[in-house]
Amino acid sequence: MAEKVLTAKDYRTDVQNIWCPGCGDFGVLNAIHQAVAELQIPPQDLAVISGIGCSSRLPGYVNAYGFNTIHGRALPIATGVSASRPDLRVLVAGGDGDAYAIGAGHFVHALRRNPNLTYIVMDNSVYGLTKGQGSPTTPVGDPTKSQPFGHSERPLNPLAWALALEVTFLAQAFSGQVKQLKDLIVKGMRHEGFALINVKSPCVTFRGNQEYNYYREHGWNIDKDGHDYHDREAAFRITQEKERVPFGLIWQDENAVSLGKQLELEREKYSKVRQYDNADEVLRTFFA
Amino acid sequence: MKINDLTLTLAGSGGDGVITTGDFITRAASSDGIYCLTQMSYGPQIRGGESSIRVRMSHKQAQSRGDFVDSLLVFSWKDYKRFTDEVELRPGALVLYEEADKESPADFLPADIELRLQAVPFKKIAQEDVGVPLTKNMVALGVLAEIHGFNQERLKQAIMDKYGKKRPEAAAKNIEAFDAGKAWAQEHGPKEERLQLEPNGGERLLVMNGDEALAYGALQAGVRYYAGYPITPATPILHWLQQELPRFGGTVIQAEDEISAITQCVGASWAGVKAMTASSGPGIALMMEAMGLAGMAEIPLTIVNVQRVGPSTGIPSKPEQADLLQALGMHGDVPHAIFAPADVEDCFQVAMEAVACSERYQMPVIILSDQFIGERFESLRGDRFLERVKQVERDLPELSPERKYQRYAFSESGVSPMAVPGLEGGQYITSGLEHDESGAPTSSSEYHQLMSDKRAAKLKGVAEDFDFARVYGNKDAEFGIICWGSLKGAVREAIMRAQDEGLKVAAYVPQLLYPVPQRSLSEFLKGKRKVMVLELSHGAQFYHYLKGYATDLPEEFLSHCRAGGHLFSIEEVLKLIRTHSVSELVA
Repeated sequence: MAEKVLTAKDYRTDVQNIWCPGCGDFGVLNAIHQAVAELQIPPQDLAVISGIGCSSRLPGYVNAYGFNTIHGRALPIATGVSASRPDLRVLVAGGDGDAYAIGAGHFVHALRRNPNLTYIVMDNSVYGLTKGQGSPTTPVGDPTKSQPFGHSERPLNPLAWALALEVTFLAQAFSGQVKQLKDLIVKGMRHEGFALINVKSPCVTFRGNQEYNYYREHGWNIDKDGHDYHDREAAFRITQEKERVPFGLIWQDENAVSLGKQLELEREKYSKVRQYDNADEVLRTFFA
Repeated sequence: MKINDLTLTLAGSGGDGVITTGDFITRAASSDGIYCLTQMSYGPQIRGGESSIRVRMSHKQAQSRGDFVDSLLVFSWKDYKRFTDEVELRPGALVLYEEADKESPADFLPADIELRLQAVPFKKIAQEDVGVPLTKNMVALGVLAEIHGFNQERLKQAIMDKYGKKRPEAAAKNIEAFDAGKAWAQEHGPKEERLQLEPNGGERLLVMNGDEALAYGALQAGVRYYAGYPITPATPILHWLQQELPRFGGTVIQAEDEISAITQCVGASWAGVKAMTASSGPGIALMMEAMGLAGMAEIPLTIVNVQRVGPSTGIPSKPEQADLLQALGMHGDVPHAIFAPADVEDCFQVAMEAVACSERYQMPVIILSDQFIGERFESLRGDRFLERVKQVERDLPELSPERKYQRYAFSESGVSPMAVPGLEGGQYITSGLEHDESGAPTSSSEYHQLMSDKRAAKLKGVAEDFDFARVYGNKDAEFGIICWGSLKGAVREAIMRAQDEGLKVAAYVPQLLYPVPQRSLSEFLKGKRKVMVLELSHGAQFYHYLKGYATDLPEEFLSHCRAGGHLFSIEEVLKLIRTHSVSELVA
């Protein structure tokens, strides 16, 4: 019997969705459903892991082994999954607070380790689940629930940050352009190593309904514009862009060794100097 | 008459090589059937500074570090100064010290006990006879071997094992120094039988510290994922597993912090691979949130806490038993289990029991070890290990396309079969949110009650399956001692001595701390009129825990506790027994 061809529909679940109407995360969810269908990943071999936040509810809405974990810890949890089960495809989802505030320490080290996973950050510049506080990417001056006279701290630039940390796959997308986002997710999941996709995903509830228009007007499709994603300097220039919002694949390094590969090499190395047939034989190393 | 129990201490500066010397003595003696219990002690300096090593050698498995030092070797009195409160000299003890040290020994030794002092030209012999000043520790080894009757062939073998292959010249010089020390002792050293350790002629013993024993237990239990962050005194676990796990297809990752360490393990275990992490009090504090997640999501996980003096940085190199309430606490009601090894050998078994418990009951399980167990080396019989190997696999569901898999299906035991990624039709959503049977999040308080009941039901099974405790002394004694962890050693030896004095006393040392191993505890408490809880916790945490959680306690339920750092001595425990079991002497 021929294998059943999986479609986006096969990845939907009946868990009740809690997102607000108009939330950018719906576009991300659609793009994920389409991307994993395009890749024909059997649902049982797909792990979808998130932290805490509106966007972190996403694993419940994907027919996969889903894990909505704790705030800021999606990356180390996903690292544990990816390192221990290299046979799985690992997708990590979360928001900008989860990734760049409480999870910032792990973000740095996940990039350094380069585990084989794709991290989709739904960046809406606000804490939605706790109802409207400023986030690490809120622009200066924007009023928030926690800073009613305007956000005073400078926003961080996740693209420049990740690139400086030698991320091996870097892209930015807009949840209003599902096709490009889907293509980037497919590429990210084919990438051997850590793929970061920062998705501008508007929060209509706490940041108004003008952001969709803003990204449509100021969006800059670098894929179409002929950007060479192997050109590191050009990639850096893109991360410094002020007038336009770049969307597309910014940087990819296919030659970096992934964590999974590194662990395999380590296992080979240790096996050469630890020649036991079984764990019982390890006891003899203790004899005086 | 030769002796069969000897406690030896060597002290010097970091470069003097006292640790190596003590290590050689431990290994040589253990290879010759003599049981050693070896403890290292260091000054706060990263390199150099003072260091000391204490080796208790005995014909029987030593239960404690020994109350008194019989033989002390000092390279430098100034370095020795730091250790004076750790070295209780026995009256008449032999004290060998560096002749060239300008300090006066009397300034560093207790004035109220008689000692046998002898200056030895360690430095001079190493410099003039051997030509390598650094070999003075091997000169000392030769001196000690001659005076105390150590097996010299085995000691030379230990030297060869360390240097022979890679540095044959160094090996030759060290052997030369050893022989020079021996020759000096033959001419000038005391020659008395009461200083000589009788050979035990026994089987070859193995040597490990508690952290290594625990790590080996984890390997045997099937743990294949370990992530940890360096912290004294838990780091040897990381080191050992890094050497051994990869060969077995496992993964070891040095995490960026303890939060990453434990959450990586949560991820690995969720993905179906047995996982463990280890730390000490402050690091465990950082892990508490993830333990709540493992509890809520019912994910098997083993967490080791090698306790040290706290709170905060405390005294990293000394033991305490004051993380018990932390281990009990958590946030929310998290059904979990707490195990505690009582010695090095126990670490091996407790690790396997803890992993088994976590897998069978799908819960976080904490092992509370401590610095004295974790970092001390003991000689042990090899045949006591492999027969205890225990592996438990978690229940996997039987999946069928006709019905939707219910990850958290209600059951009497509270355990519901757990699907792991890769199993077709087992897809479900895991979360730290309260959930229904399918795993879907819910904020229904009714579900929270039902699921809390389900999770808590597991504790009954844990108490039945893992109730194990050690009981010592007279079963029918009316006075009993309860303690846990590394206090066992001194308590057990004190009980043996008390029995020699005709006193009736019993001790109960549970390896399962939570849930209360009520079956074995009630059995122990039968006929006890007075029970005392001994612990290294200023706040008497174990005593208060038992008072709150255990039943069948006698009316006279007493606490004897103090802050950690300094262990209870055998004599101290014996005094307590003499005081409290006196009524039975009359009876």
